[in-house]
Amino acid sequence: MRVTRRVWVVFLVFALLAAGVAGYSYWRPRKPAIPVISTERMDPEVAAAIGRAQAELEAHPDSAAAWGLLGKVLFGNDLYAESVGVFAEAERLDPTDARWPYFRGLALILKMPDEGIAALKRASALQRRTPALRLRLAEEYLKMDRLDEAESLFGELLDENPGNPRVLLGHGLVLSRRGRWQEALAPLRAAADDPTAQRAARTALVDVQLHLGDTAAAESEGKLAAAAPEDRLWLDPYLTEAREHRTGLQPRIEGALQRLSAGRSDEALALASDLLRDHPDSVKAHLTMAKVLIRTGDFTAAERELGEAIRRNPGLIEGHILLGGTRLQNKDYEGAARCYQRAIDLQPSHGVAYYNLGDCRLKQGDKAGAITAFRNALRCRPDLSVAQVELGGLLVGTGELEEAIAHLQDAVRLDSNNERAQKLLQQALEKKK
Amino acid sequence: MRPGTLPLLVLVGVFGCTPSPVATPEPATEPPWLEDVTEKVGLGFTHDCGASTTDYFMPQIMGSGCAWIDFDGDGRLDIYLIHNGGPQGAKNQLFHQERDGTFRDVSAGSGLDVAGYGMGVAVGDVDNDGRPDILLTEYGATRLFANQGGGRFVEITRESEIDNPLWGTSAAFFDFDRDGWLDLIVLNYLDYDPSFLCSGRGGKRDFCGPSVFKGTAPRLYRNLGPVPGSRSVRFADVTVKAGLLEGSRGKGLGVLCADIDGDGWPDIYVANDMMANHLWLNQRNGTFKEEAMTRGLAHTFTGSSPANMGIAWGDTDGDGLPDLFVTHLVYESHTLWKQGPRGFFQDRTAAAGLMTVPRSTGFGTAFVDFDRDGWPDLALVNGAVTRNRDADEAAPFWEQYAERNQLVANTGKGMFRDISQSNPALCGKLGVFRGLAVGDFDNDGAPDLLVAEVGGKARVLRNIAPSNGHWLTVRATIPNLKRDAYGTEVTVRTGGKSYFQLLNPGSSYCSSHDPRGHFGLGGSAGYDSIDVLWPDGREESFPGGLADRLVEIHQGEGTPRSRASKK
Repeated sequence: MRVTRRVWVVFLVFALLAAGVAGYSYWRPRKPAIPVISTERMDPEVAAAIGRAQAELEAHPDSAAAWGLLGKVLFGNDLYAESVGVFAEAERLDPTDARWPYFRGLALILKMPDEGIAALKRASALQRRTPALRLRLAEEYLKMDRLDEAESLFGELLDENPGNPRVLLGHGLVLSRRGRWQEALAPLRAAADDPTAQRAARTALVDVQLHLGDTAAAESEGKLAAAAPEDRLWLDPYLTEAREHRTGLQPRIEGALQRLSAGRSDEALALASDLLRDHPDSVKAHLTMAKVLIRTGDFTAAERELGEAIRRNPGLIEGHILLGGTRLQNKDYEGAARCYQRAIDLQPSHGVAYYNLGDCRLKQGDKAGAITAFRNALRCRPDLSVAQVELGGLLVGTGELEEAIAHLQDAVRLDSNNERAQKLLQQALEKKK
Repeated sequence: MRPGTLPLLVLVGVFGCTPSPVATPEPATEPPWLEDVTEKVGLGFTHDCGASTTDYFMPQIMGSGCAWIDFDGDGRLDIYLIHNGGPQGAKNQLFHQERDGTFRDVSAGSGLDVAGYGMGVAVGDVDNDGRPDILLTEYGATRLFANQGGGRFVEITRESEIDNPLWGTSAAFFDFDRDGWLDLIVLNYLDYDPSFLCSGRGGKRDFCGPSVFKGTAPRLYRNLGPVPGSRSVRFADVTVKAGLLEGSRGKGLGVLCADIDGDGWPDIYVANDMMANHLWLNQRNGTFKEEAMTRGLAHTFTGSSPANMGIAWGDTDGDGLPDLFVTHLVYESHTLWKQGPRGFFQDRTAAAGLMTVPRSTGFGTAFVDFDRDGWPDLALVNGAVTRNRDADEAAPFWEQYAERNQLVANTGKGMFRDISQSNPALCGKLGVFRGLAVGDFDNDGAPDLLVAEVGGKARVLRNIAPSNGHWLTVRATIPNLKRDAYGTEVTVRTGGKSYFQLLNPGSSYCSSHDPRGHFGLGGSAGYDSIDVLWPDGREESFPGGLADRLVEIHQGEGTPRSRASKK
């Protein structure tokens, strides 16, 4: 018995020693390796940004900011899986910075929702002054139908930010999920006035009104929701910070075109010029520049850029369409028609190209060619009311009244305010008598 | 405790404490519901999606569907499968089911052995000759083939005046004007420009997403009946006249033709990719009115417009009102809209337990009562449309887009539970799956599946679910029209319970199901009645009988009923 006990004691001592050694080797501070990111086939600008961030990290391997920078570059360029481990290291080095668990949580939330939520919770606990982190967490809870947690968090946020439309929307959605329809009305109505929440709130109000038995109100809310534009993204300063690291040809093109859409042509021109300087061989860069130049009315320069883009890619359908447009502006109808025909050869279902070809033929006095082109346009795009009107008008002229009336009736159906269509339809109907 | 066990526990306690970074999948604890019998039944089809994987030609990632069709009327379902390799690619294949249950390739000379960028298939007897015809949608064309009998089809696209040069996807036959001739809705996807190049993660080349291109319009064709002196029927494009172009254009992927508002007339629901869905309600005068938003079917409960793709339609909770399920992207969750009150829908995805089902990029989908317990289960086939976030780029091309399919059991009253782990035949293989069609090919009362995969083998999955009840298969026909009564709503009543199904093979994604209804009846060895709402609006009741059989009901042979009021 005594021998057995001695064996036990010796064994336990060894076991504890082994445990100690194992524990040390497991928990001892280690310098993490700089992650290797394969940048093969990536946009060179993205690869360069990653390279710069990696170099920064090599210079400061103990810096949370350096790890965070690499993470943001990866995250900002949609390389979420690659960013997860990088943010984990940033968080380990600086557990007080909420950004790292926040980005990590967002990168994880789709594939590993429980880990994503855990990271978002850590971030929210670290930064309670701004509502963004808790709002995101609450919205994720709601998406997962974790209503207790969502309700608690939205309630807390509502106390602090009673007028925040996204908080009101979330609160209203939780209440409707809970079946507390009457209570859900007020927050959803309040949220429905804001462009970041109006469509979502109106959609939810349809549901609420149906449950309250008010079908008319539901239909009314439905109509308002249908008319509402897509809800704008709410301003998340953290995501904005990560998105600033988004780079490469496509994001830069999008940036230029967004400014163009917003009427900021000078900024668009500057961005397109930079783009062309950095990517002189890019078809898309030339095309983007051409779009900007067309908007600014410089058709000659635009034609030059389009010519260059098409020289590099003769199959560039959009290039042929735009080139046709610039030639049409310069009253070069035959030149424009050739461009549209080329686009049609490349994409035989291009309704707009057919319509524009018809327009060219009409301007050239080729009515038969125009009729053929408009008919083809409507094969592809029966919703092109302008083509219905043109074709209808031409067919009235040629005496093909039955077809003319059908097209003109369609034109009126598509656009009941189109006076020309109505007038032509009247003419056709009278002629047919 | 025996003296020798303590040291072992100590060591486990010390060395076994490292948390596992990856959640271990739940082990398969239940018997499988499906077995892969593709080899056994001799189905030899490998999908051609084009040779090049460097062009990122968008139609490659979107097709193709599949169809069950009994083209020779022998009572055994045959198969039509389409390729997507372009005009120079492999030709579509028609397989005839032999008496022994195997499938023989009868493509050569069938007239259906055509090549193109094949997307979808719809089956319907357009000329009321008792033989199902085939409509094929392609990138750049829509083609109609008339069944001449004897396994021969002849293309009648031109004669029938179907002219759709756009990118067709799902299509369905239905009789929207109740004139007895099957009309046709063809969805078009988007205005694709193949010269527009897109990039994905890190700026790497990838397939374009739908937001890059403008939407298009669907086509509604009214069947005008036979052309005198011709083998063809003639269709009129009534898209504009019917009001389908009022409002925004769409990016249609999934279609359902069903009486959605409960007035007895078939409506049209279209699942649009990254846009609000459309619900065109039949105004009973040849026109339709768009009401998706007011009926709760335009968006998910958060007001977002996800990538709406495949459609399933079935009464998930036994309240007599069919519900709608639409598949979405992996970054979203699929949506279940439950109906109630009649004609109005609410997003009840989470309440049905479907939010906890692992996310996927779903295409083909269907409600099927695999285990015949009276509650329709849910099958969905998946596959990404852009390279997976964690894709191994050294892996073969399509593996980088591959996902697993899913099987979700309805545990009763419309609550769902993922049982994919127990079903390796459907869910064990990674792939880029698109088409899914339901059909009882072996006529054993247990509905089976046909699955189509991009660049992979089409598979037949036989239902081997342990039976939790009895079954009834219902075929509804209109004798004077000599064809299946597409659009018929069938309610089987038994022991105070009722089981609803719409008989129309078009739904899912680009695919066509068995036109018969497959009902699981739970513990009921018989049924009290079959109540039918025919496509022309008439209602009849057919007497009860024993379960576990195929019942053929013919319009005009039942007892007339007055219009039933539903909730």
